[in-house]
Amino acid sequence: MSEAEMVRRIEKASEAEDVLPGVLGMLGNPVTFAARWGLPLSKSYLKHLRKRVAKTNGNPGSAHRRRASSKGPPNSRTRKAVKD
Amino acid sequence: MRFQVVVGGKRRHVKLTFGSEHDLRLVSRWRATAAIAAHAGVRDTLEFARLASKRWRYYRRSIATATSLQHFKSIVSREGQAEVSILVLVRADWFARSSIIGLAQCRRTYCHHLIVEFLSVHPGIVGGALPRVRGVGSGLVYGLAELAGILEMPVVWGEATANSAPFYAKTLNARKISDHFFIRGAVLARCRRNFRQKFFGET
Repeated sequence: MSEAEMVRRIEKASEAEDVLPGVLGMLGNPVTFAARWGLPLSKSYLKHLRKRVAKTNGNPGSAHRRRASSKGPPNSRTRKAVKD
Repeated sequence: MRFQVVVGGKRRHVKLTFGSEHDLRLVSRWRATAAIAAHAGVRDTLEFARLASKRWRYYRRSIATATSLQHFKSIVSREGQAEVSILVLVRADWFARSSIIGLAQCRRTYCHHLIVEFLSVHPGIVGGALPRVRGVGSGLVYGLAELAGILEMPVVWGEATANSAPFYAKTLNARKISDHFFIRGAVLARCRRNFRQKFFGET
């Protein structure tokens, strides 16, 4: 069998990979998997999910917002100088 | 065991092996380049790889975990109804981003069936980064069938989702897959044949 024929065979047998979603199997998404086994999702993934959900809801601008500034400026973490 | 995949139009060998704790550290370091990070499956793959590491560590503490074929056989011969966790890896020493390019977390049930809990392919490959690699996901599924055959397991089964059902339907040559799949009988035999004849797999 020629090299080209062998490559063609593998390519042909791999056609299903055009629809490979990345992860397969039981509880095929990280959220249900994590929930089932009591595992925490990473912060970056949660941020990604918020964006995805906001997009699905047709409101991509609300994906992640800092707390509204109605309560005034954020508290400074630096220690105030003590007056003598 | 080993089989072949296509990398940039050329054949390359990959190894199908049992994984260990050390390998999971490599898997948890899977990263995606910015160019493919937006691909639908890439973020899920990365998160799954991280969760897989945690889950496997939990298994190590709670049920038997086999780190080789011989180890698996010895566990089962000692205790016929043992639940055994195995991590099956696709190794490629030529892949620049990671030496592990695919993984399947499986569990042997008390009645000697193999459950595929999840299966994942490196995000770089899923995202279509260059060099384009084909055959890892399909080869892994057929490789699991071959492994089940070697271990005289009559059934490989798992749950399918809306995302994964089309892949399983194509791979298993089934008209339709609903929320579960069973690889047994003639289908198992065909998957094993595909592994050997189309992916040039060797045991």
